[in-house]
Amino acid sequence: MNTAMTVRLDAEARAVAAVWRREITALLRGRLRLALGLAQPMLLLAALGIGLGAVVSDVGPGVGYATFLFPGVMVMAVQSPAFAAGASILGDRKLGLLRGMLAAPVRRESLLVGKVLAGTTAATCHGAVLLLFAGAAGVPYDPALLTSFLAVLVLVSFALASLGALLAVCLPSPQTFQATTGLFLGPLVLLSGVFFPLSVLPTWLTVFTALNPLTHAVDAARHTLTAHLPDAASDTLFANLRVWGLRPSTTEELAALACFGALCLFLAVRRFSRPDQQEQPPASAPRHRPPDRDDHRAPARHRDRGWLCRLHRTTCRRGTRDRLRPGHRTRSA
Amino acid sequence: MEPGIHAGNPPGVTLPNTEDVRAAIPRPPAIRAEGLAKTYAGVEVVRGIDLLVRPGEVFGILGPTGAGKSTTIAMLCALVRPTSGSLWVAGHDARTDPAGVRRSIGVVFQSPTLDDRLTVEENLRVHAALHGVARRRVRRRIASMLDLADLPDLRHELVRTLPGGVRRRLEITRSLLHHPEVLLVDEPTTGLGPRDRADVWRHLRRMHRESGTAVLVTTRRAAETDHCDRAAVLDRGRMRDLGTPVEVRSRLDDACAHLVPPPASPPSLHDVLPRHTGHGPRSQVRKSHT
Repeated sequence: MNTAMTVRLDAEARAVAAVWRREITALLRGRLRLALGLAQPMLLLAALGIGLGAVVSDVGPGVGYATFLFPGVMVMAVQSPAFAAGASILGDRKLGLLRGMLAAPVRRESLLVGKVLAGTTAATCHGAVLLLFAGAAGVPYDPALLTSFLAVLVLVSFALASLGALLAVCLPSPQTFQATTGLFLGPLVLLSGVFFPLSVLPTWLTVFTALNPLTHAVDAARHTLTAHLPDAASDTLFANLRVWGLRPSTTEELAALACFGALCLFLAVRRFSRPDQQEQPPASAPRHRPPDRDDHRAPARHRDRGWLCRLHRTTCRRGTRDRLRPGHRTRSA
Repeated sequence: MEPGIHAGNPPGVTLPNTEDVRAAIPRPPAIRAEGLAKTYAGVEVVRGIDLLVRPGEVFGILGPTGAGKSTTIAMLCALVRPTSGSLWVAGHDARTDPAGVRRSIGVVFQSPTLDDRLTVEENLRVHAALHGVARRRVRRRIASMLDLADLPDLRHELVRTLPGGVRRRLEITRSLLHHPEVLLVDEPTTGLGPRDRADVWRHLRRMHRESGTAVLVTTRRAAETDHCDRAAVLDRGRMRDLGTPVEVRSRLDDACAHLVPPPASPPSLHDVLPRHTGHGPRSQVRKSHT
């Protein structure tokens, strides 16, 4: 490797680290938000473990429903901070922070990787906090078990943060992002086997469960648990996950998670670094000066287009007119 | 290599000082644009502008909202690709060498790009890292720039707590952290009060004097071109006028009637507020205010 390349790589690594540190610092500053975020998975575990545990009565000898739930809740604890990485990309774009970073002489890839790594770190920490309370769910404090749990957490955080980043670079606004994640997260979680063994689902649903990255995360975590908890191995709740008659091993599932994350990140980076991708017209084009005053209808190029295009013009025009109303104040033009 | 330089000066020969030598080396123009144009989805925002900004000068672009100022800035910092035309920034071709362009510029966007969750110093550090300021110089550079900007006490303040004028000044300071050759400033005074506007301009002039970079600044206020060495008028994507601020302002009325400069004195509060408040004659109201 020649010197120029080393210098270049060093600059990019610095950019990644800078973005990462910025995110983490900002996250640590929002203490209330952080505390609420950390409390959420514990509430989930308590509420579901006690509540659903009472309904699910036929647990095997030795382990309770809370123990069965623990790996799943761990994965659930990770998802919201991991997706927050994607939301922060869109938030930055909205605030104009992204514009400032894009004008820096570093590759756009580095900025995105920094964001994803920060999301991974934050999400892993959220999950790790839950590990502290493993005893309450009947999970032993075995260093080997906790380490493998941590490995699962890192991988699932990375996969979800990358997925969030991919969604963020494809979607136009934080609101759309929220709506999209709201739509997909429910089914994704429900069909991942957090609350019940997947063997109870009809066979045709296997297609979805097998393609769901969360399934493999939950299953991998559950398998590491049964490996250390002989009582649970015999439990019907912990029945093996079968994908089209195949039984993937924990390593395979973790590898699949890592591949999924890498693929998402690759696609996100590709889209993000496309020139002009993040460009939007900085200010609305003027519609209020003489040449336009003559013609109040939509410009000719919009007239014969589809309804969506016309609708878009309508909303744009209304926006412009509102802004021009005397006394109406805008934050920035 | 000149033998005399390294072998000690012969008596009677004085070497020119570094500043003179540096000035003698011909520098490429800070910005050179020819027929620069940008079309967004069929809307011609910038319609072929020619621009030449000399090294070290303050060049103002005056234009109303939607004239294409921000798009021009976006093209100058290689964030947006021109639809046609050619552009060189500090000798780097924007089409073939966008990375070179970004390395040689500092930008202050119209919308604030400071992270208000971080402190002043953290913001500057992020900028330094992204712009490749040498690690061992970062601390000293930040300290000296904050001193220069008269903001040393604010180092550990959260940006969220700072008033708008100070944030603007901080952004200008930050954009010069990495010794750019060209500084692009997009509407630095928009949204600020009269005192903050004056502060920001004073600060900008000072930073320009200290750093010697070329500055391209856009504005909507004709009066603000007085702070520039040269000014151009941009309207509906075209360059209308170019010259010294005095020339440009004197020609402003004939060239483009709608670009009327603001009144010399701002309207008084009583012109803006509704006349009748139902509490006696106006003279009483005025007295109570003064």
